[in-house]
Amino acid sequence: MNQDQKKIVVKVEIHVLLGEDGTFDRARMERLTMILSNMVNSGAQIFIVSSGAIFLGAQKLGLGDQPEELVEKQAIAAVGQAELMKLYHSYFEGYNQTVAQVLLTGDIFSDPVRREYARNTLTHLSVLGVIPVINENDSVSTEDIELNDNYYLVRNVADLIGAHLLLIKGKGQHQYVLITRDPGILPFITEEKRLMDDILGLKAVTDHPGYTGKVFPDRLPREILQT
Amino acid sequence: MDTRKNRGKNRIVVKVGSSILSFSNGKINLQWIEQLAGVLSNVRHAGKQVVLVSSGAIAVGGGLLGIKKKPDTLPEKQALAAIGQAELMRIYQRFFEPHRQTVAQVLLTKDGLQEKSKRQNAYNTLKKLLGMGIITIINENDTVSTFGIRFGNNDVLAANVAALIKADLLIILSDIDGLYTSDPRTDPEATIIDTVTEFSADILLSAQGSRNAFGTGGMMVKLDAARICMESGIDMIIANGKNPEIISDILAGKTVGTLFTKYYLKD
Repeated sequence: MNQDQKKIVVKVEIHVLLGEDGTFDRARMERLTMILSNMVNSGAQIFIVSSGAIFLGAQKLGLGDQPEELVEKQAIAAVGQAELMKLYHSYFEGYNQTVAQVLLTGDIFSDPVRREYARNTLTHLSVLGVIPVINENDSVSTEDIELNDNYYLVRNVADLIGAHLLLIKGKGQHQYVLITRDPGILPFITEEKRLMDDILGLKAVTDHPGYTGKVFPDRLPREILQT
Repeated sequence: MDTRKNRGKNRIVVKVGSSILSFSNGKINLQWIEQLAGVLSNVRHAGKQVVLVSSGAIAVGGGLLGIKKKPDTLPEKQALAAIGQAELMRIYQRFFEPHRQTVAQVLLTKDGLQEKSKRQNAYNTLKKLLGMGIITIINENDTVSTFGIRFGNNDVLAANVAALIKADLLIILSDIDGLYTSDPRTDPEATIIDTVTEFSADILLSAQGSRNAFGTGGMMVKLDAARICMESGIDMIIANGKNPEIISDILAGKTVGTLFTKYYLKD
């Protein structure tokens, strides 16, 4: 398999990183970053799309409840995004990986010039061996906060750079699903799956570990959404 | 001499450029940032609201990857900015933390301040953060900014931010003392212009003659920023930020740097 086939956008939901009591679980983060670092070491290019800015912002500010009002969410995300990056940095540093922050808005994907710039930046980061951590630029856009799920962003990023998608989902039982353009990636992921099963306690959403198709679905299949 | 009426100003935007927060070798000046954090936290204690517009992401990114040469190509710059911006925020957090001052990060693009709904979103977020007593650290979202839709330098970005949040004062800290009557390196008679109340041919000539006239943060660009501020009803001061304490001096009304006074919009 050539390197290009090992481009993987990994969607990390903050819930995956929380323990049963709802607080941040350092051990899980440690393991996740270890597995992702290992994927990088094996020649994959990893692009992380991570939620968690609002969760971490609320925690930083000592707010008991997660915010409900939009403007509050935007302000808290501005505090928490820096915290989120600090977190990824400190855990990846232990595995000698450098991370970069890329904040995108939805309109970038519909503008051919900006698409090109975003693609160039992401590609160049990969060339440098850096792991981009991508999120919605919440303080100026409201799309994903309203949709409450980064799937739209994740799908667009995967389309932009021609990557496969690995969704790691949270809440209750932790699960993952691979959405791929090319079944050839499956053996590679299956190898990593063992690690995820063993260490992260992740279960494949279906027996068949990957959805394949040239075009990613507009929406996640119901059985994935419901988990 | 307390000649300037800056005491009553409550909403302050401070812009710091790469030249002032890094050494000439491109590495970040940690001690300077530590001092800046102390001064700005104190301005907050005095009950004022502060927004910081900070450059430095590319410099910090280069330092992190051990790249000595300044990047030439745009993808290189954008990649280094993506790496460095997060690190820059970590540095600021570290130095604001002992003062129990929370910081936030907002990355803006030019169209984000022009297009109505995005502008409104940015305004709402910044206003909320000001109300929460948080110091927001703003930079251009370099990773997605393209030619033509780029501010390209943070002086103009800072002026636009000041206009957006209706600030009372924009302070641009740089490695020059202010606007000189002519180039101080060649003209021993050159003096700092204390106050600019309107744009005249003389002012433009002075700026053109100044050191670094056309650099990314050169004097001509600072005049663009000044024009935006003056027309938006905001005072702007250009001063030498070698010692961040100058911010306290400015807010105490001391005559330092060059003040560009706002136009009073006539009805």
